[in-house]
Order: sequence, then C-alpha cells, then structure tokens
Amino acid sequence: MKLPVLTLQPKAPKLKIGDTCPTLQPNVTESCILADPDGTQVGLFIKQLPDDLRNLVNIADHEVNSTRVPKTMMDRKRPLPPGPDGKRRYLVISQYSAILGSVPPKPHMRRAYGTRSSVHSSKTAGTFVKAMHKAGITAYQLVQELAPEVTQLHSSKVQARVPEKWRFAKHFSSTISNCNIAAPIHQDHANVKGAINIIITKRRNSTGGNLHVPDYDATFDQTDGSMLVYPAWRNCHGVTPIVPTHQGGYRNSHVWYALDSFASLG
Amino acid sequence: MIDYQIAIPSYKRPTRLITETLTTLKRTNADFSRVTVFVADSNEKHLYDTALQAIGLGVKVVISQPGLINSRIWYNLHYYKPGTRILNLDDDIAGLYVKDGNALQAYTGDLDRLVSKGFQVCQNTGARLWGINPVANGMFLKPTITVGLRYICGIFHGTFAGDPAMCGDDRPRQSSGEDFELTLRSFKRYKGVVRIDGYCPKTKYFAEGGIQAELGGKDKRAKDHEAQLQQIVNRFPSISKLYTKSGDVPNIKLKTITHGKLQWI
Repeated sequence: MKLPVLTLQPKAPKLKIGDTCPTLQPNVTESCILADPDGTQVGLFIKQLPDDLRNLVNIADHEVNSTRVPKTMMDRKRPLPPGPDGKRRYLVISQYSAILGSVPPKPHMRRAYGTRSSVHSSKTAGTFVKAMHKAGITAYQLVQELAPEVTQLHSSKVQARVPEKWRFAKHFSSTISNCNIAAPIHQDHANVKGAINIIITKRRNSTGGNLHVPDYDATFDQTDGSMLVYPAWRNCHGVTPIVPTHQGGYRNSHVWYALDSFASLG
Repeated sequence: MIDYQIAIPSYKRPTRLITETLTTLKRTNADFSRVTVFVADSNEKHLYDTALQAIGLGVKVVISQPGLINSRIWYNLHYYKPGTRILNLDDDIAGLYVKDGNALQAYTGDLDRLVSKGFQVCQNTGARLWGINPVANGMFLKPTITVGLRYICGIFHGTFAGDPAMCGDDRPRQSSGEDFELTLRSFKRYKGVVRIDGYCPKTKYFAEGGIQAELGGKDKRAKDHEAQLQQIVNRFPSISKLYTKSGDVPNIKLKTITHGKLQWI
C-alpha cells in the first residue's frame, strides 16, 4: 500500500499551551503520510486499521472499558501565571486512564525510582496487557512498512534513550489508554526527542475528540479504528471536545510512546 | 472427573471470543488445552491466530466449514473421535450465572463440575444432549436437573461426537434455530434431553457477527429465522408450536415433558 504525502505547512498558531481546544471540523480525513516542507516524513494517518491490528485494539478497548482493568484518575498539572492574590495557580486536567509499561521516577510522590505500571500486577488485566503489547508491536510494523523514515529515526532515538528493560511493546516505554478525555493544548516534553507516538482511536456514538495541531492548523478525523502516528514532543496539540451522540457514547485513545526519563536509570 | 473437549465455532468475532467466552472460561478455571476454535477459512484462521497468540492461552484454531451448523457437523464427523464428549459453546458468552434466591450470581466454581454433572446425567439416563437454562433471570431458574423435553439452547450444550441427532444425513443444514432442531431430534431419538435448570449464560441474542454475519445482516437473519422455525414446527408438530414473543420475534414453544427431576445446583 502506498499512501499520498501530505506536506505540513506551518501556520501562525491561534491556540497556545493550556488553551481548551474548540470544536473544529477535521481537515485531514484520508489516509496519508505526513511530511515536513523539506519532504522529511514525520508521521502517518490511517483511516482504517488492517483486520489483525483492529482485532487486537478491539480486545484492548473492550478490556479497558470493563471493570477488569484498574484505571486511575490522573491529574495533569501545568503552572499558570500567579493570580491576583499572588498565589501559585495550576491548570489541572483530570483524566481516566490506564497506563502500561514503565513509569518514570516521581520524587515529589516519594518514589525516586522508575517502576512498572501497577496494572501489570492486576490478575484480571492480563488480556488487556497482552493485547496492548501485541498491538503496539503490530502497529509499529505497519508504520515501518508505510513510512520507513519515521521508524528509522524513532528506532535510533529509542535505542539511545530507553534501556531495553524499560521498554514496552519493543519500541516504546509505555502506553496510556485514555477514556473520554479531550486534553487541552499541550506538548509531550517528557517524550524522547525524535520519537513518535502511535495513537489509535476507538469510539462509538460520539463526535469530536479529534487531534488538532495548531502549528499546522491540522485536525485529524480520528474515526473508530483510525491510527495517527505523530511526533508529539515536537508540536503542541490538543483534542477537540468529545460529544456523545447517544447514551454510553465514548471515545477512547490508546497511545504508545517513549519517555525520556529512563536513560539515566540503566 | 469426566474427560471432554470444548468446541467453539466462531465467525468474524475474535474480539468477542476473547473478551467474552474465553474470559468466562478463564473465570471458571477451564483447561484451555481442551479448547478448539473452529473458523470458516484460512483468512479467518490468520485473524484468530494473531489475536489468540497475543493473548497466549494456547487455544487451537482449526478451519472447519462456513456456517454455524456446517461447522458443528464438521467437527462432530471429522475432528473428534466418535463418542467424544463435546461441550459446544457460542463465542459470545459474557458470563455464566447460577441461581441465588430470586437473583443471579456469577458462577466462579469450576467448569469441570458443571460439565461433568451434565455428561454424567446423560450417561445415567441414556440421553445424548444436555444444556443449561437459557433464561438469565433468577426467578425462572430452579435448583434442579430435568430429564424430558426442555429447550437446550445452542449457547452452551454438551453432546457426543458423531451423534446422528446432531449430524445425521437427514438433518437440515440451517443455522437459524439449529438448537431447537437439535433438541427435538435428540428428544425423538433418545426419548429425553437433560437440562441443568439452575445455571444460565449471559449473552446477547441476535448479536452482530455470528449467524447474522453468516446470513448477510439483521433483516435477512430475521426472515430466515422465522422461515426456519416454521419448518421445524412443521417437522415436529406434536411437540412444538410457533409463537411470537415480545419485540415481534418469532420463537418456538416446546411441549413440557418431564420424565424425572433431580435436585442439584
């Protein structure tokens, strides 16, 4: 399969980090390879996954929606300018999620060492862990086939920055499965520079929830079973509001990424 | 403990198979070396293999024939040795429940206990078909095992490989209502079927995939279902009759015949 190339043209961003992403109509709606103006491949968008990968993601998605997978409420905090009273303020975004793979040290939480996600030790989450692991490997192979330049850079950077024992799904350090989260504009500064994120979307009876990259004014049509491969460390990005159209409507994203915090842990 | 095999015909639903039936089997401590999944063709086998290998349960995937009934007949005749005890399961059993007063409780005991009892009662009574209650409602479950004529739902039932009631040449090859056909044929042939009344499966009847996919969609399945049920009733007029249940879904009511009851749950 050969995909058309979409050259990303830089635009003056209308949104900045911390802004809530407004409702935007997707303008990248077909499968394509994403490239810089100089022709360098930087990512990939696939509208429909091949059957084998789709099955694995369906299994993972079904499991994360069940009670078998322990999920956590995660708060993402970003400092904001001090308020009128001079007190520190933070932008706090709460999201339901399940993390797999490696978790970096968090000294502020009295954990000065890296560890594996506690989901791995849950007896009932085995199917989810295995499905995510295999799906990560299969998705990476697909990217390798369609956009080899992207995986070459990713592979060299991950090999340099993520020791083998901290890896998950061979080419990443961790994954996160987000349930119904429309994240405001942010940038993944903690990721390995040069590495990609693989984002697979699962949804039912919902609209919105599409990834928007203000630097290129690009909004991807993240339909059910679509895959976006993007260097999330490079540009800020956010998710448009998720609107369930029927009761129980949802939009989940399963993201594989490589964190940079493990290089010094050996 | 009685030796048996677990056969699961599946069509275009590897996700359901893994997240529902295999998860249910895992919860009931099933021995996965007994489990074989029967698929329609090599393309399906590749998809099921990929998904099952990722989960790593050691389940075999075997190509049989397209169509639920064809698949069931195929593995009865060509895969298992004649007389092998087979637990036939659907691929979308989300849970197994047991009567708890007027309510239901998830069954967390061993599958072996339930299956052994089913086959044991069959052997003691001369029946060749056993099953569990199809109704997921504690009010209608009973702490008994009935021998006689009761509907044995195709979702979860035990048979013996090569049984002519299951795979005789005179058996119509229609997937719709195949469990009614099997129940009635087995009753006619062996004068009784065995139903464990205190247990039921949790599933979604007329779900996407499965027979619906085999017949080409919801509307086609509904039409086919009604036509097939009518034919079954025509073949067994004295012990079955057609009626329409809520939601305008045609169904068959079997004549209640009870030869004996045993208290067991």
